[in-house]
Amino acid sequence: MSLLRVSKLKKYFAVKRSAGEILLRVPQRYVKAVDGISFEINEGETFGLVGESGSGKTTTGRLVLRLIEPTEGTIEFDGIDITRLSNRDMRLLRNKMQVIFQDPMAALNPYMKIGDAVKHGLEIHNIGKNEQERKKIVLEMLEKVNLQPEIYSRYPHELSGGQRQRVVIARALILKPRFVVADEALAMLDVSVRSQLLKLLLDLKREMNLTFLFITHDLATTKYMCNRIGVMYLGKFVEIGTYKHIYESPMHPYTKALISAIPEPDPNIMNSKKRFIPHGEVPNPINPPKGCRFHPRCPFSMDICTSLEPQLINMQDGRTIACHLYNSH
Amino acid sequence: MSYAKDEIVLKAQGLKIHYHTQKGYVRAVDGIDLFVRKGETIGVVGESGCGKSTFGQGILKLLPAKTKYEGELLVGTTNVIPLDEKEMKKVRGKIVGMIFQDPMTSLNPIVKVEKLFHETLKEHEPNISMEISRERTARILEKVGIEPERMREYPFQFSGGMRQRVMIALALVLNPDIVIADEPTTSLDVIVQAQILELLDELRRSYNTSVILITHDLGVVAQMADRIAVMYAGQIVEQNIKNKIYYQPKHPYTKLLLKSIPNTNPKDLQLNFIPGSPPSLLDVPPGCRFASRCPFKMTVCEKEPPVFEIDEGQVKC
Amino acid sequence: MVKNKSFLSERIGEFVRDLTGSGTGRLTIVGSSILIFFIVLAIFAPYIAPYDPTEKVGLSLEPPSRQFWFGTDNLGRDILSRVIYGSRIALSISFMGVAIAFLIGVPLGLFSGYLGGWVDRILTLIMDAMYIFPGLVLAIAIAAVLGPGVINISLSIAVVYAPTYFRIIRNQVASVKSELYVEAARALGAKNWEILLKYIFPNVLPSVVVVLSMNLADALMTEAGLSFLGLGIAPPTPDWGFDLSSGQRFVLSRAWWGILFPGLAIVFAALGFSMFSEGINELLNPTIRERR
Repeated sequence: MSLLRVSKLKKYFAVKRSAGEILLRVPQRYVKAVDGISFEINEGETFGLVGESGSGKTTTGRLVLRLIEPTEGTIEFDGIDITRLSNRDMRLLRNKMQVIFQDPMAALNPYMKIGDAVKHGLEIHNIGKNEQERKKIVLEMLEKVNLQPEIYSRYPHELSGGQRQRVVIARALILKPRFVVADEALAMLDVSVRSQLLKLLLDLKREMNLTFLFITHDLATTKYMCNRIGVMYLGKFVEIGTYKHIYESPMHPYTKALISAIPEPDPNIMNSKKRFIPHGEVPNPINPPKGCRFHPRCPFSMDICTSLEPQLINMQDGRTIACHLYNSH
Repeated sequence: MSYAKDEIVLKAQGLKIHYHTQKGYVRAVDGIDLFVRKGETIGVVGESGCGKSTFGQGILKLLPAKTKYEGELLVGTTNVIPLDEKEMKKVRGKIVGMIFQDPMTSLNPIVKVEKLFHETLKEHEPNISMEISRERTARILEKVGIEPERMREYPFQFSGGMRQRVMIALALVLNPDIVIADEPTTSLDVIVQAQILELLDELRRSYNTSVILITHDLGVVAQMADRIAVMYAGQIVEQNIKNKIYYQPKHPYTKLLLKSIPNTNPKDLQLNFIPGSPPSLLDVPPGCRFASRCPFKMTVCEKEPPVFEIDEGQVKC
Repeated sequence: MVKNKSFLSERIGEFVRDLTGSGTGRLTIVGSSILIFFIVLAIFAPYIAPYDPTEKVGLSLEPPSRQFWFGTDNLGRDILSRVIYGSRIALSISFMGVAIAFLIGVPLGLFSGYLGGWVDRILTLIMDAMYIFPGLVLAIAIAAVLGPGVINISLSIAVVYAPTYFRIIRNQVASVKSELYVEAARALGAKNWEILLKYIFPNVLPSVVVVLSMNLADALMTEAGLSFLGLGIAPPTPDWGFDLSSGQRFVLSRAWWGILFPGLAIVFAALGFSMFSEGINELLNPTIRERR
């Protein structure tokens, strides 16, 4: 059963015009950060979102939590369309959906002690009868993420990066959410710490039966976490499939490029790997290319790609892909 | 170890760099022996806080005043340790070029690109005219894949990848013997990263420049480096040619570090990590610095570990 | 590198070292000694002052002597005692004025910056209009309307300085509210006032503490100015500004002591405040401070 169902979600950010442009009636332009995406995440499943910066993956994460308002589309969480909820109802629902951010230093109030930061969620949602009970719950949670109880009365700047990220995880999971958005949650950590935290997330996921939206640019970590992976390019999905689909037999030219660009910690693989690096960089999302958004950089570009936008179609092996190359039959 | 015919362009011996903070001296680089041959790429890898960036900046003595340098650091044939600011200026850019991680903060965003190059060239050739420097800028920009006309633009008008190309061009414009690239692609997306790395390698080959590639990413050095030095807590724990490091690592830290990287092999779902965290460089424990996290710890590890020479490299264990 | 926020608790050791070691440190020490001197005068005035400051204790306009160290004024009152008692008014009004300004400006700035939109635009417009108006002139106008009295004078000073706090807080809030930890608090389900109080306020507070100490010197001068013009405290309460203005009428009769001593008191107190604030500012603000 799907816990989260997103359909035709769009987010356009208005580009600020200067006073002169307003006077000259230059039309309002928009950054099309997310441009009509649909996906479902089943209970207990982890859905990965990968793509480069500017692909709209982070915006998607903030949208499904309604930290920003969508321009169009619906987000159903457990059967309720949260885009229609009042602010108050949305606030009350927040204990069910939580977030882990990329930069734990920025995500923690520098003037708030760790214990208070983790405890605040309990206070907001009236969990625990009194102060003592809440403190007990916090200490239990800290233990769960392998932090010492002394940390309770420390400030964020006194901790290491890995410890801080554990605090952020504790703060999110103490509310016993059903759904968690992890936005590049491991990106800023060193390799050895990254694996530790990945293991922690996996354990907690199993223990608490969590459903994840796992946003990352690091494909290697999706292998451990994700049941399905969606590859985004300029606000749209180009390919959705399992790790095997995406990594072993990528079909969309962009996915192929992405996979071939990953630096592997193994010289033999690096030497034997067929590199497939497209020219140029991701174009400006204010004016995405017409037709297929990848066509100016795509070596397989055909006439049709310049005019007609490919739709996501289901392939026989279970993946979905938006590319005219596979659309002929 | 024989240096044979290979020309050594940089050689550090017992190099120590301790920089000053409000809490005391950080022993960021604490006794490093390393040499770089002409035209080769040496990867310096390690986790954050291991001293790899201090080492990179220390070569050009770019660290704040009050930093203590000790030991010997030969660039070409001159020891740069006793040199003062004025003499260092001649080394910077001309003999050793530098590429930083974040081109947004290391390129002045409100100075036109052509002026950035002109100023750099003028440091070493005071009489150079704007025309000549424009000509040379155009040539180097073309080499890094930027249309020469864009030299009239400001750095903030370039995308991240393009800015890093400008940075590379700026580091190479004086045709230095060595380029230090400190996390050159960390802030870039994978595809752009691949483009930049390819470019860097291509330029190294055509200019026969030596590259010191400082990074935390063992994937990047697997692609780029000839030899690799693994740093831990201010010291090089192991250095060797690339394949030896990856396939026959000797030092426990190297072994564990390699194991802990999540790989992309779909069949391998094992997750490994190194428990604990590295020691503070403000107060370094005696003996082997990795001992507290090492699964093979012995009593002898409480003493400073010796350095063993093994075929092409060294291991300190 | 880890961003190192300045925490008073862990900086105290370093702070003491800076106090004794550097030029700015000495500035702070001199400034705070002057301040403490005046505060002691104000608190213990009845024990320190040799005479009752409002009683005629000697002849009119007696020059400084053993009996009257600072001389007497035209009404035969002891100027030393008046200067000592005067510090009470000067200090209490400047402290109160700044405190009221703080209490008006800071909450308004918090709301304005957090809410944004038209509320913010209107409040900013009003505050900016007040800000560009010359301070003393504005204080005079308000004091003239409100009339004399400690509270009224404090209020008119507060009106002059409230926009300063408003502007600083508002701009800080506008930038802090886009910080990730504020978004994290929203994701937790925190209410707006909780976010404002628990997450934003502690992060913007340090920036006004410095301004607070700087404004004290200004407020002291403004108070002296107001009472010099007769808009201050009702006589016969001792007040430096008022004594200065009544003393200057007798300068022609060579009674220089009538203006010298109250004047010196104003100068020293203002100097004390500004040296103190200057020093504090540099010690607390790492961007001004040179990296050593």
